[in-house]
Amino acid sequence: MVTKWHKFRTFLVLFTLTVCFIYLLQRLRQIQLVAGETLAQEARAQHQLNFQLSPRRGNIYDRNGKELAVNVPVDSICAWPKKTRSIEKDVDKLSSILGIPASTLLEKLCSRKSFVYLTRKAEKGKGAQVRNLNLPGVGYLKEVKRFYPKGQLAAHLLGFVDVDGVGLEGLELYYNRYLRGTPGWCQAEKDARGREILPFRSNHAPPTDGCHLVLTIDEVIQHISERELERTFQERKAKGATIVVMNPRTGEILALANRPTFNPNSFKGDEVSSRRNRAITDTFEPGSTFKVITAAAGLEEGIFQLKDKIFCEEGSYRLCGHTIRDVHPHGWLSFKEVIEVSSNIGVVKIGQALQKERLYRYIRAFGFGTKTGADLPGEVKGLIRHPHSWSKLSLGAIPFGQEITVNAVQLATALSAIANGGILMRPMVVDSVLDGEGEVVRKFEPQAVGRVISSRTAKQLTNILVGVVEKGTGKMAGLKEYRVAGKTGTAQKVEEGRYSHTKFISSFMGYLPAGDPEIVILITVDEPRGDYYGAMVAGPTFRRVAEGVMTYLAISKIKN
Amino acid sequence: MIDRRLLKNFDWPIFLITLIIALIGVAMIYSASQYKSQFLSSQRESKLSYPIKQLIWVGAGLVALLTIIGVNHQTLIKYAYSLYFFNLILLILVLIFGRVAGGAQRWFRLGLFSFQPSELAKIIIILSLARYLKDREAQVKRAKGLIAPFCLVLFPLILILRQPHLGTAFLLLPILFLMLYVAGAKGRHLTAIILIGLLVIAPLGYHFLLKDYQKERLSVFLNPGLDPLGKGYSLNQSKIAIGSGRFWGKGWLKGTQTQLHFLTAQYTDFIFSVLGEEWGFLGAFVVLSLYATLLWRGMRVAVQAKDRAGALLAVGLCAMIALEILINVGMTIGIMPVSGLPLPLLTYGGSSLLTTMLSIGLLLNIQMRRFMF
Repeated sequence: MVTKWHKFRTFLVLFTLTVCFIYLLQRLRQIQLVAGETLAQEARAQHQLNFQLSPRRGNIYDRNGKELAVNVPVDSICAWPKKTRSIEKDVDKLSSILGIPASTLLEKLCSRKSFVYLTRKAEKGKGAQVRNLNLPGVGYLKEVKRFYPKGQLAAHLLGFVDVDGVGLEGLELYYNRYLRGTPGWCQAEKDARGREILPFRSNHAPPTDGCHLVLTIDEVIQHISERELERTFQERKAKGATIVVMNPRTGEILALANRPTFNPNSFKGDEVSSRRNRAITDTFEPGSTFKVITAAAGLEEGIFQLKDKIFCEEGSYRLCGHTIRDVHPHGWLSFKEVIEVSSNIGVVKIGQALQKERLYRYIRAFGFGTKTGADLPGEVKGLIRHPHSWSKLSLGAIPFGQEITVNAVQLATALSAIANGGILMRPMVVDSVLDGEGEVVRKFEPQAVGRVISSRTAKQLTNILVGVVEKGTGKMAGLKEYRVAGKTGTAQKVEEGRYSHTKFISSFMGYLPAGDPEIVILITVDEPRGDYYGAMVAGPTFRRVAEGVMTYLAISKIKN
Repeated sequence: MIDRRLLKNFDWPIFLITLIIALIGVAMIYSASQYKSQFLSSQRESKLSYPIKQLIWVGAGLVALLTIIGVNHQTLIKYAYSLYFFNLILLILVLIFGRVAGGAQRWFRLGLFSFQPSELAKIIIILSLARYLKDREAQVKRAKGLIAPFCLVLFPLILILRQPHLGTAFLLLPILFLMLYVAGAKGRHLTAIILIGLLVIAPLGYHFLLKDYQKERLSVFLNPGLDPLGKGYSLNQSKIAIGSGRFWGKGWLKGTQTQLHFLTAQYTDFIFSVLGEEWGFLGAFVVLSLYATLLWRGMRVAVQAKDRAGALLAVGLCAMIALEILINVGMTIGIMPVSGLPLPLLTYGGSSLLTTMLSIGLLLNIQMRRFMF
């Protein structure tokens, strides 16, 4: 019979089982309710696949909407090495299409990675050719590549991008955050074997395309400038050359070019130094062009009038045990003539009359020793020492552009201040930023840094500079149709701590029409062979550029 | 054959809960087999093949359940030894003619379906034990008296070990202990045997009996972080699936780990992980409560039974079902080693379902006939 005692044991068994069940529930609570969030994250990490959707990089246009940088579709050939089968016999065909040695290809195809690129951004059409080979595990991805349709034109301004389309130099770098756009994302799920399962559940946000840049650069002016700069660079077998064309009223840079240059579409072959935007990254002693600044200070301070006479010591002037010389000896010259004939001694005397502090103040006021604020990367501000650390000789050097260094854009900007009646403008390269639909996102307005000299002084200086071109050192830069104001410069380069007698930087800067200037042009030529006087080397270049640009501007005015 | 008095004592809760759990199982299998039918199956297997097969098995199980009700359990007890020998022969035959799958020879192939004699063996051994122990209360009080019932279990156990089917083989031992305990064996004898078993036989068995994969399962159980991508993969994935279900679950057919096949053996051994992921703690709690209610009703049968054989039989059957639940669910949440034991009524597979349905039929049978003595 079934006894009470037997029933008790049965209950005991039931009780034990109940305890076990409660323990199970407790463990479940621990896993699902306590550790649930952590485990859910682990689960997501396993099955969620996140893709980035690349935005289209913005284009770069000149001021008239001409394309300077665009995107073109290309094919990237890639392979999934685990899926390739008996690839060895077909690798030669692949090699001939891609132009890559078969051994290099084989190495990549046999690697242990699950995905390799065989070529990034090959010509469009290569992908189809590779697909026609019908090789298992080899395919192609459609990508876009940055393309500069004008080749070398404005290469230093535009800069370039890396293989992933990230700006590395120039405007591509400076405005990368506008150009790149915002990547979108797409979330899919993958199964345990890594296969993507889209329909199961997916989520995505589209990318926002990058903004376009509209530059102040005019493609035609840029072209004229580069053509003439190239000619001078070749003829003079120079080490380098730079041209800056600026609108003096606004500070807009209309053209900027350097030699040597590079092709941003295939810059790998070019020398690294040729990618440097010398106009802004290199500083040099300006030499005689700087006399304009000294003259401006002298006039503005009211120390000199145009007709005041200055004794030029017959070409040799001892100062603190040092002799300052002029190329051609002069006796008494008027203030105006000192600049016209570019007398070092005369300018030193103007500097001495100004004294250190005032001269320094004007130099700084014209923007030297500080960055111009141009929207270009890598600007070097140049060296202008404070008067405290000037030597006794400094007043015998700085007034004609020695012992200080400037960059080309600074010099062009300072001259623009004289050309426009005394207001220093901030140089600018970008006019506006447009979004994908062409709406203006940001408009850059011309920005005045401040008044440097009175408009009266500016007019007097223009008068002097017109004289330079009409009867002084700058005759070779003169035009028939327009009155040109300008100044030559022939700076000795410093070599091993001394001024070289064989290496020069020859320059010419000027503006026209002198009465109501539309353009400022600055040309510097680094180490020209043969003739080295600024007037001879850079003067004719100035004239040709000025002619071309004025003709173009006149035509476009009629058109408008 | 079935008179009105029998029908009056029909334990409806047991029957209904069984049906509910089995149907939940079909729903879980439907969800768990989505991926399989989408990617892995050969072409002739349709999307519905697993849940439909399971549904057919549920139907077959119900028929078996109702049939076994018709047969007085006393009659079954009477023929227990004959069944025992018949079963031994089946276990020997499967070692010779059985189908080999996954490194084990456990199945007879019967047309479209396959059948595992080791599943049926569990019920027959419990029947035989009930038969043997029902009149031997005095005998099992002595230590020596325990030898015979041990031998009764040992022969089929060795045959099942040979397949090998470790989980089922060792499941027989706790069933035996519980039945002996209820049959009147002294607690200190049983404790001594368990201690000797654990201290002497288990280490020997580990070295001589276990295959490498079984040793791996044990070491992974003891040290789950050992190799999360290799040997510990199933276990780790099961925990992630269950845990990520949290309280409410991700919803039926929406469990990422199930649908994207991160779980392994998801419609068989790890069906509870699917439940935990898709239906959350709530679903797991409900299903475990259903099981608990079922077992409570089952133990009630044992207590209310007027005959010792029926009581012992009920205890054995309840112990079998309960242990399977504990071991399987314990495995999915990492408190039991991976053993390959099914989750009664939920796991995909005919043999297990039929066996469980038969066991429940027997419980109902005993309950209905408690006034006949």
